[in-house]
Amino acid sequence: MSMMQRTMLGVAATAAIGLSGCFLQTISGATFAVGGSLITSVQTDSVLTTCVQGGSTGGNVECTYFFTDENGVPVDVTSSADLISEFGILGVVIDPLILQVPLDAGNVSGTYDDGAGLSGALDIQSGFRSIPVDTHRTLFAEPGQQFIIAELPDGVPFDGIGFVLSLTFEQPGDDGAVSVKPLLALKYDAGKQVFHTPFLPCVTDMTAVPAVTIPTAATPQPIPVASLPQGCNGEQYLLAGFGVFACDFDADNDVDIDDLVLQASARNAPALPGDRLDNDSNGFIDINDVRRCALQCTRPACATSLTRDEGRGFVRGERQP
Amino acid sequence: MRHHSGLFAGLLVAALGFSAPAHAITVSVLPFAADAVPGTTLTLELSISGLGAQAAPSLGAFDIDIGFDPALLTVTGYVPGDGLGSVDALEAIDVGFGLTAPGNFNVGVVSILGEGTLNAIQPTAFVLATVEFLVGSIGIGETTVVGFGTSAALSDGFGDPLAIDVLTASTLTGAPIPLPAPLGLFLVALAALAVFRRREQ
Repeated sequence: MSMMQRTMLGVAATAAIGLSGCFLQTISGATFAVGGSLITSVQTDSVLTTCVQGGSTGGNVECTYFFTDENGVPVDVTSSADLISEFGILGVVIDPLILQVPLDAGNVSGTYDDGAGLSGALDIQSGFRSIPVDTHRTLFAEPGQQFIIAELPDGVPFDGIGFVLSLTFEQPGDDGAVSVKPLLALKYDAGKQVFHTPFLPCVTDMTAVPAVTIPTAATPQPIPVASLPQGCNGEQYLLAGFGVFACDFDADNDVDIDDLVLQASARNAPALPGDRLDNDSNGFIDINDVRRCALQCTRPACATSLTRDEGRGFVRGERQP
Repeated sequence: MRHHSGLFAGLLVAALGFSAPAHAITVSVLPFAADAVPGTTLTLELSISGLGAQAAPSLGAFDIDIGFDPALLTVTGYVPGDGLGSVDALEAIDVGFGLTAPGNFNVGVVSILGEGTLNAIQPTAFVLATVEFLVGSIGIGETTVVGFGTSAALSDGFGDPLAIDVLTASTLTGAPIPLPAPLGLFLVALAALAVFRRREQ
């Protein structure tokens, strides 16, 4: 069986690294507006991140990180690099590129190059069908698709440097063009948990990410990363301090069949540290995790509100296609 | 290109030595052997045996790839069994991916029922799913195996892995297309008529 190799250029690194940003703030119970967006108060000592200045200019997201200092005074920084250098946020790694590709894509590799002599191999992880976004949401790959996560290796200087990222993967057969979906995210590594908060485009549903068609070609093909009209305005990513049901994957404050179906759709794939879909924390999402979550349903018979009018029997059945 | 039975020889696996342990969990495609007539449908059962009789270990979920030769067989239907609870009554969820690659059909069910309930309702052996195939242009006497694909996983009532001790596949043999009954009667009548006319002459 022949293998089709596909190579593509990543987004301009200025979009991926230098000018991106999200709103990251420690909330202390107050409600206040920053950058034109109202931030709803949340639990004390929690961490919240949201892009409040979504929008884009020439493909770059104009976001700013905001923090409160130890006295509760809002402080802002303008890049992930500043975030690390000024606040020492442990493990915040700069803006990985997430690429959704067909499930049968393999032999993934990638390089970075600043055009001035700084180049090397990207750190690549592949095979994911789910990526934790924050404490209560997960980014799911569409059916028949997987995620590739590409990021700069540790130690590569990035502040103010623009890189071109190049990714290559292979597919069995020769089926011509293939569709991929790219997005940029901020990676928040809290040790036991790793979150990727999408900001370009700023969505947590892959169906909302524009597809890019990659033709069969001998030369690398460009991949533009889209910014949707609404930018990140109003989006909030909750990174800590929120108690959620371990198996509530659709963030509706219960555990029901909908959650199990979502979890099952992402099975037989590796899990990032702290991915709640990996209920037994063995680094792999499989049928055992789904069964474990089935035992944690919070609704009678695990039914959704659409499938059971509680106490009066089933109204409408739902089945996997 | 046709993939013959040799391709699937490795799918017939007997694990853990020469003898299966007591309570050996066996997953089988049944019947073990059957005729495959081109143009007809064939229903095979994916079955499990070796579970506890109304006792642990029970089966809480399964996720199994059925492997077959896509040049000879096409999946036309699939019905999950009720051993983990009724899917229609939402006691279990059908989570099968279906056809994930040519010749690889994934079936999967997760029970919503508690471990105690599963222990109470499950016999030692039952049908996990039935799969219907349309038989393609298989030659007379040609064999093909319906076995197991890239993965097979079982989960017990608590969500812990349940080891599969034995996997057994089904061997199909190409058989001639039988004459339709009316055509057979017509031929018999034609022969009788020929004999009658010869006697008259």
